[in-house]
Amino acid sequence: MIIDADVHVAPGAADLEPFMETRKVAEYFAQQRPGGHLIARAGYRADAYPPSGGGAGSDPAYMAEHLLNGYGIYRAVLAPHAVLGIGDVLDLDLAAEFASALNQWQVNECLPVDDRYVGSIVVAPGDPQRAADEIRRWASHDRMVQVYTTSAPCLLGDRFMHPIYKACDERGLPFLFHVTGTSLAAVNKSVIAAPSTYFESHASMCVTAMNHLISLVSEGVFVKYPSIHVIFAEFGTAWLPWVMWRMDMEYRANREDVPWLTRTPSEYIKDFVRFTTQPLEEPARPQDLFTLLSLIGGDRLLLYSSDYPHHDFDNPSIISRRLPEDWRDRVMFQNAADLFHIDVPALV
Amino acid sequence: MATKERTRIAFPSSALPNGSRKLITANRREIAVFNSHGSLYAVYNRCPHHRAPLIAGSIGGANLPSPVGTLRRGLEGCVLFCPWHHYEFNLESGRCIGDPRLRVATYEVRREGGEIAVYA
Repeated sequence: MIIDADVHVAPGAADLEPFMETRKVAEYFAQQRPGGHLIARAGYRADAYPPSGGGAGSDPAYMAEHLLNGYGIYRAVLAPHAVLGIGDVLDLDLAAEFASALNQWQVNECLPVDDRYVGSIVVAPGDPQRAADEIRRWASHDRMVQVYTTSAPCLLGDRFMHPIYKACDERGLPFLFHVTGTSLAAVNKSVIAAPSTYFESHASMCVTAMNHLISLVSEGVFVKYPSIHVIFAEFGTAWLPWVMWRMDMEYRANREDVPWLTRTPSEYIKDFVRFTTQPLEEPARPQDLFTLLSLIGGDRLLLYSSDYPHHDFDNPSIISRRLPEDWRDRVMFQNAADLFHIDVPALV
Repeated sequence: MATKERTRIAFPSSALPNGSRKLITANRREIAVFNSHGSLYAVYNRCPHHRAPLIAGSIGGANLPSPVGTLRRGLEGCVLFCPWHHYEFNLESGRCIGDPRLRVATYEVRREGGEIAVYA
């Protein structure tokens, strides 16, 4: 049994145009930051381009055949690819309209194609109040299972973002924050400066996630919004023990800065935060990763993800075999089923 | 010691023109055969990393070890890029350039008359 928590449908401009109310899709793509290092590399699995033409991930029917049937995926959580970089679009009305179009496109053009698809409510983070309205618009749709954005304009715990969390909390929807794809440099704008190569950028992705995670806990998001879960997508996993241990140490010494926290930071992370697996770290002895993550209860924190149709796809059969046996069900589907309220048939 | 008998799979040379590739099966193993600038290569059709189909990979050269800030191209036409994670495999040796512990099986392939023969 597999639930894939990060699958990138990638509609083309012509697919989305009918769902734009006042603006053009081309305006949105023109305002996303110029393509970063990822564009120079292949970017997509060479075998993921649909025979009908169009880009990888653009044909939900082909994706159902290639990914869902090909790997026996029980449910796939759709994360529309064009959202990558949405927080970098400076025209906030344009970004919000584009997010709405993506939501309508998923509901109209993807979910009916295959019952195994579930969608994400896309929001543009630059205008959190409007994002909250978008969340409330779709929250009652039973197959739109999470809220999804990228490239936030501030640290995630900043109270600027709280209207989004309030809406998630009201409706019991997890909030997924994805590594930015089209402007990888922007991923790291909270650190010193942008890196110069794809190698450097891709290897640095955890840095921003550390900042955002520390911010979410410190600013009391999980105290104010006790029904929310936050998912970090594609930021890696092996850095987590350090962050937890360091935050707990700070809590002992500097608790007076964050008196609203009544438990240790690591406890909040374990209860409220999840991490998608791809790209799962690959130490020389694969089991070393799980030895490390077992120290923080990692079997409860990870959600299997493939990142299809990206070139650095994690094959579920490889990941499943690599996991410790007693982690396998939790990571491959159960944690995601619990989070997204997906019914799974009883396993015999 | 007994030597394992190899299977010979042959097809017309015209089926693999310069710059093309062909998937064949030998003993239920898929083998990707490439004609790169006239040189023939045959490798097992599964990447040892995540089992991607190598037949879909592109062929090119590699940036060889070089002084900081410079690029030195080499192995042109002899490097197979995995179609998923972009791992580089030397088609001669099957070794992954970034991690020589990873190796894809290679097979003998040669021109015999008007045919191309793969020994697997």
